[in-house]
Amino acid sequence: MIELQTAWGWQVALYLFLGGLGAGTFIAATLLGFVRRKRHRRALAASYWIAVACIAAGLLSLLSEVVHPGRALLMWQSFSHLASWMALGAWAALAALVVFSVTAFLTTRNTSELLSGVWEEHPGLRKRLRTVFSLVGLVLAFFMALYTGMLLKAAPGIPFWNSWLLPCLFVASALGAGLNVVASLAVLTGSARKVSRTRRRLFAGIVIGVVAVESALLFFYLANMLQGGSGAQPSQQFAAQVSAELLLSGSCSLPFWGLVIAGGLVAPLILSVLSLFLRGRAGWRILAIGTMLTVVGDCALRFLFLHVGMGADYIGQALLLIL
Amino acid sequence: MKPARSVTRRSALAACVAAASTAALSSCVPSGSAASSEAPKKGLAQYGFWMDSRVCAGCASCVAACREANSTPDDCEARRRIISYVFDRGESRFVSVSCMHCAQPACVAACPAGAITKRADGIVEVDQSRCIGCKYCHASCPFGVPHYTSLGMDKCDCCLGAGIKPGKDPYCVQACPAKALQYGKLEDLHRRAEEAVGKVGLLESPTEPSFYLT
Repeated sequence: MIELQTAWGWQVALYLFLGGLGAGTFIAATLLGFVRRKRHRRALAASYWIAVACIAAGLLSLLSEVVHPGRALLMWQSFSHLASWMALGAWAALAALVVFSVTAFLTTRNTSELLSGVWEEHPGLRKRLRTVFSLVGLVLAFFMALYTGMLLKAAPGIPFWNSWLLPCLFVASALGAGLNVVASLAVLTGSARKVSRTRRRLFAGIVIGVVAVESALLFFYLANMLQGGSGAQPSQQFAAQVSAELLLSGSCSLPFWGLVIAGGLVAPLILSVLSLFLRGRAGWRILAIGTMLTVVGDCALRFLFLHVGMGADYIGQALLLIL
Repeated sequence: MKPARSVTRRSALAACVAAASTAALSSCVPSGSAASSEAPKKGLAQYGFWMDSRVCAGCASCVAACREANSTPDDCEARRRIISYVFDRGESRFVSVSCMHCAQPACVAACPAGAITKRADGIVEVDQSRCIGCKYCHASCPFGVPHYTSLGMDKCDCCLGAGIKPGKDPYCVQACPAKALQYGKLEDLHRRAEEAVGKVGLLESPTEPSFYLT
């Protein structure tokens, strides 16, 4: 008999979600900053601080799951084995926390003015620093988004996770969620109002594109798992199939179809398409509602993927061969 | 003894189909897995276990001996457990399972702290003073062996911590009344197992367990 994995609980799922959300938000905010920094200054600052909060909360969540949180804080000892994705991710998360915080500090007018003397002495330094930290943060954010999937992909004990499509899916999902957070903040801070209808349509098109890519990846992922995944042994293939069936038609099908598919993919897609035909604030608002649903769907996706993971029964397979 | 696990009708049926396809698939199995069904190379120090499920009665003496020798608290999972399989054909088997001391241990690769190491004699051991208890080794282990106490990750070390010298039978093996569980160098175990039941191979898994199952 095969069993669901129970070693990792909701704290790890939350860490995977917040890590992806923080990374995606930073990427989306930085890209928006390269295009229209001044217009969306407040939305960008809020996005960067949200990215910082996501990474910090995610790390705290992970810390609450480990047996020795105090020992885990001695990072040079506890994450010294850099061949492990857990160690790589911990260092990347710490570096992201620092870089995201500095970027947020430099982007926010109130905090940045604390160093007004320095900026006056060195004209242009603030802008250069902001650019450098944004670029370094961009690399770290992409790595963080990838790492949340690689952490699972690199665990051979759970066949359902052993696919290269998983990190790809998590990266797409993180980017989608990040875009949506930044768009929602642009609506909330009012900067979206200044955006022309053409540009809003362009943004809606990007959201539709990201949702379509995520949907395609999810489809291929589950189709692959229903075919037995990448495992060479029958017991691995069976475990991967059962996990996929749990999502599609088993005990997890309601949250999967309701939150991930309907809430996280279909509704945002419909609302984004609808926003193309609406004028003024209504268009942005409907887009923002759809985008927030995507974040809920992305959260559910990680919780469900973690939950349905199960180990293969190699011993049962061997017994069947010898009996 | 831990709650027994059984093979459901569905999983047994599917595994039957899967088992039948194993022979066909064997030519497609990656070289690493294929190697695991061969006898280990001579001169390579690798200790392991041979579990003869034909004679195991599921008495759990091995579990009790393991628990006592390693001072496992009552409220913690023992390092060894008995898995019970009941097949649709009416046959049943008990398998005593602990760490397989794999040739390619996934736990060693996964541990962020480098707290798990594979010794020269093949025994995989954990340094609890370094373990942070992140449970990544559990997710990585194909057999879900690592478990956690207040000290950190806990698993079989072939009773090294209980004072048994490498190569000597751990307490679980000593306690088995039916001699269903045996321990030794893989080449010795391979020879003994083949003498008893004919051709045998190591248990197949991506990590190449040091475990014969007959």
